[in-house]
Amino acid sequence: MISPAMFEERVRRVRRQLEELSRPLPRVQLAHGASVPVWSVRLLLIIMGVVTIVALSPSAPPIVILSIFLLWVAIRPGVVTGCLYCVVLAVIWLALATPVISLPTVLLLGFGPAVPALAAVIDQVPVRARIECRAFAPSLFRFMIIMVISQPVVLLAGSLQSLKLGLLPVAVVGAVIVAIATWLLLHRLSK
Amino acid sequence: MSLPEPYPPGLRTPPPVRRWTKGTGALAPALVGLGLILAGILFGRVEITGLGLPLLLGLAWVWPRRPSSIGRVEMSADLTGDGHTSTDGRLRALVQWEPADGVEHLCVVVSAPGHRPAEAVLARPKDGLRSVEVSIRSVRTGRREIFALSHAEGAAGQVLAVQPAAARPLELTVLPTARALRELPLPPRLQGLTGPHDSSRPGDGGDLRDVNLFAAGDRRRRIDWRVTARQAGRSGPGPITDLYVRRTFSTADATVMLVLDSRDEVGADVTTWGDLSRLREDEQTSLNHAREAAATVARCYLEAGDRVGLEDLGRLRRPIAPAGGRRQLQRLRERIALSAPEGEPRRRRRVPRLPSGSLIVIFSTFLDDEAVQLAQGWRSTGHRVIAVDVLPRLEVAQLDSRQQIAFRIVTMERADRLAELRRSDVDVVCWIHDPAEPGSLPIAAALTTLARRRVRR
Repeated sequence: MISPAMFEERVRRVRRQLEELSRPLPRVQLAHGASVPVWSVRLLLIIMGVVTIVALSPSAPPIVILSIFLLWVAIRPGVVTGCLYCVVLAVIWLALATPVISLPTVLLLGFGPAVPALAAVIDQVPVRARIECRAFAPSLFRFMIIMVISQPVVLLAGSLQSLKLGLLPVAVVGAVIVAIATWLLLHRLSK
Repeated sequence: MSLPEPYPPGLRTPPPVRRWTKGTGALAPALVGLGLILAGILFGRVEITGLGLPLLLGLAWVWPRRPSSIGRVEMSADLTGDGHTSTDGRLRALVQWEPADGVEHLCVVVSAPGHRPAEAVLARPKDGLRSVEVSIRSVRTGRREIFALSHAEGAAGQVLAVQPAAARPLELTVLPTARALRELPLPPRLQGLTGPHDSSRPGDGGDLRDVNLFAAGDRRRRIDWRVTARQAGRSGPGPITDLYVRRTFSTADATVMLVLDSRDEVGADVTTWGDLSRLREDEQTSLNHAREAAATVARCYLEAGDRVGLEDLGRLRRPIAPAGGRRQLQRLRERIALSAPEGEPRRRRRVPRLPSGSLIVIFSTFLDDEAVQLAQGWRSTGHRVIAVDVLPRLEVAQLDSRQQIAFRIVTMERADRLAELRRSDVDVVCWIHDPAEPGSLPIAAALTTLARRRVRR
């Protein structure tokens, strides 16, 4: 049984909440540069993850598993969750046979590593924050250089593997090429 | 690294020493990258290594560049040209960041009372220092802690992490604005021999008093040769024996004491009277009105050439003695801006003594008897007293039935106090004009009416 005083108190509380909705508190103005809301970056993470799932084209159970991990990355973006997503993606990819030189492989090699790279940028940044577009520049530059070095090498190694040359020489060649390229490029870039 | 909470109030201990620690990006990419490469080699699937290789290479890139020191982040007031911190109702501050090597971005949280906090990730500047302006819009005046800053730097790839730091809230002083008024009432007795007003005392500078014979003490340049020649001609030819001088009245100035009742501060919403933290920044309070009224009255009297002093009822401190000039106006504005309620108001044992013959203008909400008793005390000693009611137009729609009854009692007691003031020959005016109230005048018209009224001593 609600007393008239309690009823009045509830009405007043609802009225105050409605007033807060219609007249929200203003926000502190921060004069930063061009920026995007962090929730849009999380949305981009989801899109990249969906692209990898579509490229993989697995059956229903792997889709559910990948979706759960992708959701985890979107809710708690970070290096750890991004790397875990890569692990799950790799495990399911191992179970599926896809041609090395094909569009799904290119998409997986392009967007798969992008998920942990982007998740690291917004690690523990709240959803309602804004992130300057220039803040993505160092990570984006780093990611592009690494992808330009590593992914063609992987694709080359994969095509060599298809020529039945055995795996070990391919692995050695690939490692040597990557090491040389890394030493050449990263050494210069660090200056 | 999570975005830090705002600086906790009341914390006075020095902040702990901050240093970089291992972040989430130090171990996970190495383990996962190596594992995926090995899995790709073991299972004969080279493309799997393409998932792990970028993780390893990324870690190899950022690890040598990890930061070793922590940059400097400070917040300071953004002063305008005349040293004040507010223009057009907007309060500004500057966040300055000098990043250390290896730091890629800075996460900041800036909060202010009555505002939602701003959270942002700022990019590293191209050169050494970055300044970012923060601002809020506020109609409130006085000295308050406005901006609270919390920040944490971010290393590339999250290989290292640092504890968030919270800077002390920034205190800003917002001076009240002073409007212009046309006519202002004067005390019944003007003082001094110089000033902007006419006086009845003989002296220099005023209107013509009479033309009389030269006497001891008269100045030679006051000799009226025309009258002297005319009078000499009447008495016949011969040397001039009597000199006539033009005597004038002197001028005088008024002494005005402003009495600011800063013992309480209430908003327009009656439900917030018990909790000031619920007041919005876009709502004026009674103390804001009192500051604006006091600054306006001070400016008008000082510009007219009179002398103005200030007494703050909220602080047991020596009042500002009456003086004139622009420096006095600046001094008064700063003291008015610093007036604020301090704890439980203390009752004064006796009425403060103010300069004799001064006009006393008291700015108060008259929600208790103290201001009324002081005003009556000053009136009884012969001062002319003007009471300025600074209570804002009240909003009572949110009150429940018990609060409505309490509010009616408070309102009736206040009306009784104001009626008692009027009976004690104290002039009462309202700073906030309420057109719905019968007999209410805008403040400029009310003060002009008082200025043209004779006051009995």
